[in-house]
Amino acid sequence: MINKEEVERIAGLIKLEITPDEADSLQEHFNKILGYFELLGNLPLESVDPFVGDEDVICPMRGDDVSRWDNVMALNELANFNEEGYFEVPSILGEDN
Amino acid sequence: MSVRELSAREIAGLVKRGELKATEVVRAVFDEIKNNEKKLNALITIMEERALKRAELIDEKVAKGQWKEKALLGVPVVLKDNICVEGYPTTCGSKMLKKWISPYNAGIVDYLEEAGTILIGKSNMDEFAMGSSTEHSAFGPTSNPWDLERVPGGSSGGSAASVAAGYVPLAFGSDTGGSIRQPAAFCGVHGMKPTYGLVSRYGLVAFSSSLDQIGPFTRTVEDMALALDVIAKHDYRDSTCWTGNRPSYSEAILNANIKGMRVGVVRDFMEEGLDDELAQAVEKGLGILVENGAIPVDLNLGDIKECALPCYYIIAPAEASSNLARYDGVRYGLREDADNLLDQYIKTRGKGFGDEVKRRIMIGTFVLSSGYYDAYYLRGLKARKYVCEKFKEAFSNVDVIVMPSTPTPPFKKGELVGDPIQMYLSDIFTLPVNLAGLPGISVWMGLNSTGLPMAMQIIAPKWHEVRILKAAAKIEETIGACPLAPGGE
Amino acid sequence: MVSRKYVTVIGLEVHVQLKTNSKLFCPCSSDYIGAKPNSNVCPVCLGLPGTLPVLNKKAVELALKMSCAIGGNIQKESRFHRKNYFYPDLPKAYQISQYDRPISFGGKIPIRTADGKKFIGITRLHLEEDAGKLVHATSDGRLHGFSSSYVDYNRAGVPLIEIVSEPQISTPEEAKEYVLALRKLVRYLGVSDGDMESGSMRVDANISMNEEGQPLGVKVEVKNMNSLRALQRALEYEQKRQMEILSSGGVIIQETRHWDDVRGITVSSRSKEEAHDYRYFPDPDLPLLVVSEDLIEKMAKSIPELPWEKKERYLFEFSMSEEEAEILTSQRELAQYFEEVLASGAPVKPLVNWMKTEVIRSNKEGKFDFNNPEINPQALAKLVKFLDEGKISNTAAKDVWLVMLDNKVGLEEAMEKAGVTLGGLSAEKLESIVSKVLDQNQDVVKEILEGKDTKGKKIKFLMGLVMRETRGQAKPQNVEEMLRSKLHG
Repeated sequence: MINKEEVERIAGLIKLEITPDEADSLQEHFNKILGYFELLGNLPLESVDPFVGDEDVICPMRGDDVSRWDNVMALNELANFNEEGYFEVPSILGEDN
Repeated sequence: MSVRELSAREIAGLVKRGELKATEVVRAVFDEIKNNEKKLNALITIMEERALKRAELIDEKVAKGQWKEKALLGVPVVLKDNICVEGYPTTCGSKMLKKWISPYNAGIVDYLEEAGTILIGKSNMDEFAMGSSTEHSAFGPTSNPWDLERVPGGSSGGSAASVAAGYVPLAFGSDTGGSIRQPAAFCGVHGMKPTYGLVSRYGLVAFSSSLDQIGPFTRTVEDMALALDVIAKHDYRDSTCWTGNRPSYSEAILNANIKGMRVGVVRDFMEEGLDDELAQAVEKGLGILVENGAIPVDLNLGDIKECALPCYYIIAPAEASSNLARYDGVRYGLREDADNLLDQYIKTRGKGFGDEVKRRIMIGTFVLSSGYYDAYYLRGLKARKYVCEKFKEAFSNVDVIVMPSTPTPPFKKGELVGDPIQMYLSDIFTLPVNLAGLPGISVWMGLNSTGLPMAMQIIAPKWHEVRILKAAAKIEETIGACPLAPGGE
Repeated sequence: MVSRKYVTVIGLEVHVQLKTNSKLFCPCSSDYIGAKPNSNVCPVCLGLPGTLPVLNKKAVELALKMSCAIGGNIQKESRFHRKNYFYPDLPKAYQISQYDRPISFGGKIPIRTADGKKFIGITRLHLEEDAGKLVHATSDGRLHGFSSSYVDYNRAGVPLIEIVSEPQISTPEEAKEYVLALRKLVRYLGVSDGDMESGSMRVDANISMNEEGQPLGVKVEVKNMNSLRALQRALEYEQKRQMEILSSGGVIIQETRHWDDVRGITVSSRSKEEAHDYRYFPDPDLPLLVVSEDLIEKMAKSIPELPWEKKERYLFEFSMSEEEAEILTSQRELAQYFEEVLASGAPVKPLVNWMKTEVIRSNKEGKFDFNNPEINPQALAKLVKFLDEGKISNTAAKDVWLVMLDNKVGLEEAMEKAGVTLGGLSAEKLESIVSKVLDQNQDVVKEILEGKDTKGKKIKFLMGLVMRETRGQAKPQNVEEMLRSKLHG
């Protein structure tokens, strides 16, 4: 069972503001779906290595060629740039990541 | 014959021969949209001006004898609103991206334009493709053209409805756990999810990157093959895109012969939890294939039906929680101003995302978080591997597998929206196919006793879309092409 | 009270920007310095919806090159993971990095210590993308008050390798030597500029202290050291701080501390950082990275003689002093020039002297560039040979060297310009100089002729004057002979 504090901790991790009502319904949902997740306990998965497989595609690599995105102006107009070209956010001085 | 009744192949033929003008096609399409959009709400963005310009260009080229080689010349097309078109909004059905305009084209948009299509609009969808009813859209729900009280399925409900209602003969959606096949089944059209990696995901706004795949909705199998010919290309901009050679799907289905094709049927899937008429539809489909020379084989897929749902609802939300983290109000999209950064983040995301998206990114964050990773995420990956192995075993004995597309016919609006897990269960037959990265089609199987569409799913091993198309073509020979839905008149 | 003995344990994490033309996952230029804010970006590195990463091969090659050089165990299969956290400089809210399957494990780097040489083990080396930059004042230096911070994504996506050392560094001095060795190495290999000030090499340290013979202490992470000096000072400060706490019976808190260069102290970064939970998981957009045997071999072959190998060879082959070998191998281009001059026939000892004095000095003065030597090796070889054979004096050789540098002329022309001839002065020229000196010093001449120069000081005085006039070009015994014959002849 997941308690409400845990629900709030998860919301904090993923940066979601949730109302107390939302927290209640999320908690209920969590506990229902975690019940479903228990079904996986019945499968013979001990010897399964999920990272070994027949890969259809291996990571392709491109040449080290530079090409300039010629539509930066479009980006400028569409994005939250300020007039100097910076994105502006509330000050993070004094905060740490 | 009116334009709305024509298939994509027919339109392209007429336009190339100069017997039908692209501009006439576009006018007919927008008439149709104007008449029906109020009740259907299938489209989020309508690109009338762009479409008209494009049609004029096509008519000009045709008049000069050019562009005759283009396979889909003059064919009007609708795209799900999570596929980026330069200069137009790509909302993903979310408040978060309501005003975001993509500065680039998705891979398939380039391919479609190259093939001569005309983009008509962007279709309604469950927010960020999370849902099975198109009710989780910030732009209101889409109606099922067969019964306006019912949902069109989802998440690509707008695209399915656009084809069923006769707006266009060809639309595209994305399928992460059934989001093409389930709405296709609900709306009485064909819908295919290709093998993971067959079609470029570049420019498809990610929900769950290891599961998402773009695919077509059509009313004929021939159009399905034609659409695949155009979009199934290697795109270097998507590192997960397969580099292998794609056959010509249209050629492969000419005079399709399925003699000796081994068709697996999973008896377990036909028992409890499946609507009787839909079970009969699968039997009927199997019967048609057998009449055409196929060999039926009873299959056991172990516990995959039981494990698919938990497995999917671990992996997809985990990836989604990461994919949707970028919507933080800093660079684009919705921003809720606040005097400190943390508040700006949580308010923007709290306001920008709807309930279902919140549920999923919360679950996804949880299963990846420290202390739960092994118990959930890692176990989910193992279960996924198990599903893959089971299918692999099955395909050592059969060439294709038939199974239901959905457990029920289309449900009513509002019926399941308050019960997320019941809603999840409507994808129970489509989820395993995504988990294993296989191709699958939902084919039209006629109407049930209450006049609602029925369907059957055909799946094949990776990269074997041709087998699916051949089998589907045989079904269509007997059942007929998908009719236009009454709601679209 | 018995004074206890503490040992320091330091491990370093070094981020090195790779010298590629383009970014790690998109074709934007990786040369971001001086570019207008957010001008060096594209949909991919801005993390726009629907975009996907495509790996830069050169970055993989450089990482492999580095792994080969440190004797790392290269992983033929490695994987990219997502490291999830929210910060405005991280466009996707996750960093693509490598986690439990990095491109290389193990290896070692030799460093100089007070007692000679020591190997520092390497734990792992992995590839990852850089973040953007946060600025608190805009380009014109205006600080917009504390209400806003500004984000520039020009650096976002630049390729980095992270090299994690074993906790085998025992002093701040060794830490400095380790970083120096690493910097020299990346420069030798052409993998990076290795410039700490501009941020192309960034160092984080983990430091703990424990009583001798006792288990390891609690480690503290120290960040924000932007120069070698800062690194050393920060570690010295931290050593002192921890020792004071421990010896007064206190406990060290596991935390991250930031070096404040102005105040010369480390400051705790308030531990409200919700115990980082990065929710690492394999990036579904990037399949398994497989490096071929061929590529590894190709990169191994591209490795030049390493700085420490070269130094050993110089010590052994040329009997250089430790100091000389260190100087001559400090930069690959310098060593290369040295070897070229040597190959052109210069005798070793005088060449080493010349290199460590004149060449180094000219380089420091900005007159001589190792990368693009202004003086060809043959010319310097000849000059050093003349010097060694006594054909020209040291002073004259320096004159010629400077003329060559200043006027960009060849050896012959420079000698002419400097009035230097081989074998010193002609007999006639010397005779005229001697006569002039004798004329100008009649009083001294008189005293010598009167037999007052019993100790030979006066004749030495005259010799000095002549030598000065000849700018050292004459051989002293010739001058003395000429003087005596003139005086007594």
